[in-house]
Amino acid sequence: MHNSGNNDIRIPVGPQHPALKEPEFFSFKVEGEKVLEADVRLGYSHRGIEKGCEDRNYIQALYLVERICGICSHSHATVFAQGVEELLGAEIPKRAAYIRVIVGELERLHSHMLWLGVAAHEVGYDTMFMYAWRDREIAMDLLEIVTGNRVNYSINTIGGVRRDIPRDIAGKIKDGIKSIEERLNYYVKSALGEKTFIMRVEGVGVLPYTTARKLGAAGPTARGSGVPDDVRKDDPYAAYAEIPFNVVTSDKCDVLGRTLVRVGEMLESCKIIKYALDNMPDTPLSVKTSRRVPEGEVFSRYETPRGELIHYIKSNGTDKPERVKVRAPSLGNVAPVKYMLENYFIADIPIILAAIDPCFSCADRMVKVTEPDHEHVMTWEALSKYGIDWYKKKCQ
Amino acid sequence: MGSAEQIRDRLVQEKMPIAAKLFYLLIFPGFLFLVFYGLMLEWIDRKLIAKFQNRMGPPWFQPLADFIKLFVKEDTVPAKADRLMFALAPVVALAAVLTTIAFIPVIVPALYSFPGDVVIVAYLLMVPTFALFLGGWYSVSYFASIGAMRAVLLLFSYEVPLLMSLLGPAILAGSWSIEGIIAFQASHPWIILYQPIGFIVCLIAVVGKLERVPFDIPEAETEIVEGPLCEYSGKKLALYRLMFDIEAVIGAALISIFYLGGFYGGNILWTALSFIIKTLIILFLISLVKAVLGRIRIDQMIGFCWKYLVPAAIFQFLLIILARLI
Amino acid sequence: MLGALIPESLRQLFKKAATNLYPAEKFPTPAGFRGKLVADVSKCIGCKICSRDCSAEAIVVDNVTPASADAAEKPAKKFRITIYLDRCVYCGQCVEGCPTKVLSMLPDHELASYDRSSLKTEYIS
Repeated sequence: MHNSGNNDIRIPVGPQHPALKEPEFFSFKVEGEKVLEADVRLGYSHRGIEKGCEDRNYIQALYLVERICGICSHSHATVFAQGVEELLGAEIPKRAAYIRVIVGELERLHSHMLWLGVAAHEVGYDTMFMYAWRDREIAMDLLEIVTGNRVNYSINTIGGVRRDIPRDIAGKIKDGIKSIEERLNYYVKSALGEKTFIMRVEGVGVLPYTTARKLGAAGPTARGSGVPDDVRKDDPYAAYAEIPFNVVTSDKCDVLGRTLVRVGEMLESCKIIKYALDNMPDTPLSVKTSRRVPEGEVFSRYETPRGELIHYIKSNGTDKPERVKVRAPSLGNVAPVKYMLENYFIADIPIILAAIDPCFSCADRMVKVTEPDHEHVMTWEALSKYGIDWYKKKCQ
Repeated sequence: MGSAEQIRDRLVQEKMPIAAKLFYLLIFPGFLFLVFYGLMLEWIDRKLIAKFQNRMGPPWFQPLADFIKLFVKEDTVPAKADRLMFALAPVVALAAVLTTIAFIPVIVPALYSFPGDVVIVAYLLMVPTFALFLGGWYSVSYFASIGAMRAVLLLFSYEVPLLMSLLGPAILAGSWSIEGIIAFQASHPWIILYQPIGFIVCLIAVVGKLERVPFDIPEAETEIVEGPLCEYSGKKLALYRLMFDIEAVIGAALISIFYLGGFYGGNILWTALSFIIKTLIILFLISLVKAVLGRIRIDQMIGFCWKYLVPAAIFQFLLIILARLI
Repeated sequence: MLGALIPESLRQLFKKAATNLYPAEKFPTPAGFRGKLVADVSKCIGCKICSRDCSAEAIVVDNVTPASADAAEKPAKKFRITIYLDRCVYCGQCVEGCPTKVLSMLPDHELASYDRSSLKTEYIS
């Protein structure tokens, strides 16, 4: 595949590269500065989480699933808890639903701020990167006050939430959200109107509406092409059915469109948090659930900052899950990104990759294709040698 | 300060003895002074950009510490690279940049001054770009070759405006030597007042020569991982970094001489102060440009240079010619 | 427009830097921060709910009641709680599940160490 002796020049980007925040391997066939073909290979962050869930009971599995990804951790925990609650037939109290929404939207805020900084850095616009990450600290400090940790919030439990948001903390959240909104309005007005930034993102990485639908794009990648898919509106969970908000889409179909969608979503998140804080009902925080989950299977969905996350959970009547399958939105965005990278310049590669907000830690799973008589067991040293030889052969 | 000025005037009239020439080349304003001032300007640049971005910058000894650290690191050469060219490229680049000081008067008269030394300085400043290209090409790595090609493409875009903006003051002063331009500005107001467009073109072109944002396309960190420098490490990388720092000093000194009056003649203390102030003003402008702009693509850069920068320089030329006719 | 950030950048020259000079200055950790796990083993009843719900095998409870030669005499129960701070993920499930409030989390987060064995603590009642 890679430089197999004919006259094509193939550039490897990855697994280690300053443009990528997580390891993934792309191989581009180039001619001068133009990219002709793109090839993707994933799997560098696989950790065996789905197998790990089968050995743990539901409470342990909740904390394991939360650590699939650092930046969408609340999303994974919530969607897993929702799935198990549906299998149990448990209905969580209203206050717990509102608290889940507030923490989820704070997570969306800090994730999009991180993305804004990273996208600016990929095009060399470093000052915007520093400003965005400085303002992201407001959201991180708020999360620390509410949940006890800046990452991996662990606020969910099967049946509700573990901590409350009392009035003084609610006041601090409102002040923090106000300063974030001011900064966001400033960015929309001036920083994102910078000509050198717009020159790099306008008309780059175009994904038309029909192709987005056909290839299964998810999240802001699809919404930036005009596809109005948002699980919070299509299939409301937690308290989203009672909270009014808009789904932000853009018709530009390029990286600038996706940027505007994410900034619009951040402003919507601020409104949702304010509404939720004002209208939180006063109910208990969780319901008691049994440890053994009756037999069944459930398909649970959530809108992470990157798109639609799906957990499929199959239970068999014991206190350990039978099978947990995770489909992350970044996996759905791999086919669109392969389409988007072709026929653009090498200089556009980092920003197009950053525009889908890749979180390949969420996405790496393994598919086992079994052939009879082809199974054998290797020692650790033999496996290491096999890997080194395989890579040497590939890079020739 | 009378005796220092007497010494300087005597040096101008008589030929310099060998010891004085060696002192000029090695200590002041030669090698040691350039290294020291280059590291200091790098620190000021990093600190300024940090302040623009609302953070603290590095402490004052950071550029020196980086240089020493690079010197003691392991020096690896890629297996397929041409060892001679790979090792020679940074040395030739540094040597070319250091040689320019022989023609530029900094407080003391230049070592060699003759009509046409403007052209020699401009030519010597082109050598580092070619050395970067050759070093990157002979590294035999994908990213290095792409970076090397981009460095040469960039050279074609900014070199013409740079030369034109350096020749504008020469035409106005009626002299092809740097000392002649300084002498013109000693008796007339600074050339920036006559040629403001030329000053802006020169500033932008020097930012291109120094390969800083928005012109750092050959070294684009997120796209091609340091470009031609990506296979370099250890002492050779330290020499390249030093070359960039000294090029910044020479670039700032050139703009100050051609447009802001230079730093020669008169009271020694006043000249030294004017050298520091003028180079710092130019550095402030260059750092501000780096802080507020993003990096554009090579095709957009070539378009910008040939559509806006070169016509501006030509327009400035026309103004000069008309002014001289009138 | 070109240079959209110029006014903001020039304004930042006069403001204090946003950098926190750690370790000279430290931000205070808020109340409720999930930091170092400690145990008050005198209240432990040996139910082992904490180690059953731990997803990282970071807490182990052993019954170390000394055997008594006299079968009729019932010695006071003695438990040993071993906490592995290098395995703990600081989720706090053990703290919540304990019926007698043996475990608690301090707001202490500077737990790094050069020696792995120093992160294993044993509490014996």
